[in-house]
Amino acid sequence: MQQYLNESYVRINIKKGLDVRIGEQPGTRAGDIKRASSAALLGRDFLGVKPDVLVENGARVRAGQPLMRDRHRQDIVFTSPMGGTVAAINRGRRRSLLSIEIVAEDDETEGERFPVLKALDKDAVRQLMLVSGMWTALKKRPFGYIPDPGQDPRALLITAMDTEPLALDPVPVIAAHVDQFVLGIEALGVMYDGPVYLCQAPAADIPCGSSDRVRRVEFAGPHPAGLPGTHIYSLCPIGFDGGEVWHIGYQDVIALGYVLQTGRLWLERVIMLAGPAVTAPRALTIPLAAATDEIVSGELRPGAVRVISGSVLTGHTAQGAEAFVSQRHRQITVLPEADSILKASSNGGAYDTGLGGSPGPLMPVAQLNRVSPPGILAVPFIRALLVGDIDRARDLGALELVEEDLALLTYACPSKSNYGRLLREVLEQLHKEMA
Amino acid sequence: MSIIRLTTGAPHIRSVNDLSRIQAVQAIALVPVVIAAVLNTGYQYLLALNTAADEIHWDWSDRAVYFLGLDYQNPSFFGALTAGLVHVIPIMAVAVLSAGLCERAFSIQRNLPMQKGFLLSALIFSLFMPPAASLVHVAFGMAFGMVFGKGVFGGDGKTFLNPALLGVAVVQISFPTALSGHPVWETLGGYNGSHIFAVYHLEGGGALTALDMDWWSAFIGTTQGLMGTTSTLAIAIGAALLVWKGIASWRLIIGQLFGLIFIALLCNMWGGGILGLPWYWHLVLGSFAFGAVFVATDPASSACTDVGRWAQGVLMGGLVVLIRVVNDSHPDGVVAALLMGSVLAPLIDHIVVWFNVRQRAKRYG
Repeated sequence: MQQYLNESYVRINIKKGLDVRIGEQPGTRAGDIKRASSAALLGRDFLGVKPDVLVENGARVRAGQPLMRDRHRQDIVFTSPMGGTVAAINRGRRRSLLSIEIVAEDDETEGERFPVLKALDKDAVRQLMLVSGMWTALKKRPFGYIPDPGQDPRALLITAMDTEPLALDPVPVIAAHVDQFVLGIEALGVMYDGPVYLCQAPAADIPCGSSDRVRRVEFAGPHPAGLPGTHIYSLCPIGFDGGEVWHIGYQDVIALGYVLQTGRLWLERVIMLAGPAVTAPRALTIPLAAATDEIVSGELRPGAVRVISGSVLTGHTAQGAEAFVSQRHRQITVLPEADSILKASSNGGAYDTGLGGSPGPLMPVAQLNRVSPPGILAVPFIRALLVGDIDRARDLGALELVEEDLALLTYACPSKSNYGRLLREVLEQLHKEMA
Repeated sequence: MSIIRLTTGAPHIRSVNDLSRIQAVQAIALVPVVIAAVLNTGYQYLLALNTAADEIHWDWSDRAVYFLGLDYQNPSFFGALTAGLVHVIPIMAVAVLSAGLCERAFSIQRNLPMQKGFLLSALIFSLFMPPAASLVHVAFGMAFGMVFGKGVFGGDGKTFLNPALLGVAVVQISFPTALSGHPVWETLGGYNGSHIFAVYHLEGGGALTALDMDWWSAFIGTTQGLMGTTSTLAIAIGAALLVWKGIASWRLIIGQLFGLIFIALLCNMWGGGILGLPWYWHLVLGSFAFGAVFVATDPASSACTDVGRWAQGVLMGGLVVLIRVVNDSHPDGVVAALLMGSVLAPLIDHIVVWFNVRQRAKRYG
């Protein structure tokens, strides 16, 4: 039944792209609840942040208590996803922060309380988002960093769709949290004065509140139709003049509404557990930033597998210090590790982690143009990335993109280069030059 | 023992495309063409023996056919196959050997493993040869193409000209009396093997009737011509595979067709003789279709933007007709048109990129 789709909306068709089919799409039936006894704040969720860690190993923390802050923007704090004890602060290469692990205590402490706002106004909403850590759910283009609290974007996009392989359908999740979602949208509309776009799949039944500043836009077509990069390109292209666009995921909007409503953090997320190595693929409700080992235990087929937080195109390998679900991810995918050439080269829908060939020169085959991000000349752009020509890459649209937008190109390219990584290097250099 | 390579981060899955697989698909797409080449070469040979047995040259391949005891009075499938193999295999073997030696030399000099691309180059090169090509010319052309078309630029995927194309061009230019000019591209030594377009230039509009050709036999490929280029049907099958697999750009192929049709129609308005040859004959005669599908779409040496591919395609297709109708010493025109197209591809891309950059800058204000 279509409850909300009565107002006018825009529809944008994305023609280029590719839906990578890695096995059967699981149903969208409301999922079971799975518990986990540890969670973590992942450093890789916060690109471009120089963290000041505020807690020590072994300290007791409440859920919602600040664990670290951005050294250069002290207002931005990162709050604990779980109440308990700080079990480990893991650092990686050049002392970059990998994760802050929290293990739940038996007598679970009550979470941090935030003030419940009587009336929404701009400063109060921003302040609440900052102290609750919800601000860090916002991402900006260009660069994909957390935006400055003192700035305003040209537009704010709510990503209420997902076209990644084996993605979770947002509609049932939003339907289960309608009040919080609508409240979250309203708060975002109060937080700044520009247009708010609700980006959704065609005919998806999603509420968007009563504000007339919220515009509903439908994106039809194959992946990357659901990526913020595609939406930004179609709605409000960004560029060289310092203008930025912010975007936020639909579960973070629900979480924002939840904080506004209850004064507490929403310590759950709904994710899709799927992939060729999962016995019973289904949607699950799990603790925020939960340890993947606990979530996938008892769910896997025998054999060597790779547990991925996120989709096969954009997620991270959940192992070691990073064996946690990212707060921004809406799925866990489990792939069998490639163990023989035969399997690695078979393409009958049974994907594994094989590279599918050996690295070689860039062959500009026609397929690359079919999977390029919209408006980007695929081959000239990746040539600029390969030689590290940052001026050329910027002229050809590097600022419009982040890693996830190039995932399909990396997937399809016979040279086996990783363009997402190359793009990040280019973006970091550009950021330094523009600062 | 091969090493299993794994992905090390997002994206965790990769398509099973790599350089050698692309080349394998290109080679598989050539299989129908090779079959058509073998059968038609043998068929044309037996036909020629029938009509002009007294002009026989008795080179070694004629002797081989003679000693195999083929009944040329009644050409059979098996007879055509055998006679075809006798002509095709030596040319291919010499091309592979020549290309392989060059590849090996570069791999030793660079201390790198041998790339398999030379097999594909040799295949395309030999299909571009007439059945009566001198093996010395084959070896020379292939070696030139491999060294100056590929080796000096660093190997597969780093070329700006297709090595096979460069080899063919050099052979055509270097040995005009044997392989170019008139009579050109003889099917077999000494027989009535003038190139159809050369006949046109000599005889004007009556050439098709003089040669007793009909369009369907030209389309299926039972006419004289360069070995791999006669059967437009087999080429179309290969084209479908290349486009389906995302290797060749359909824009390049259709663009060439548009260019061909456009210029041919213009010429038709201009006058008679070869100028009046309709576009559908241009399509099936000579080596246009083969060049358009297997050489022009070589990913490494064609335009890499979609707009650029359209432009390059139209340019090459138009040039083919233009060279055919205005130039009687280079009657086929395909090799020259493809060379020009490949050389201009980077310029075309440069213009497309310039427009893209300008458009982006404009949009941002």
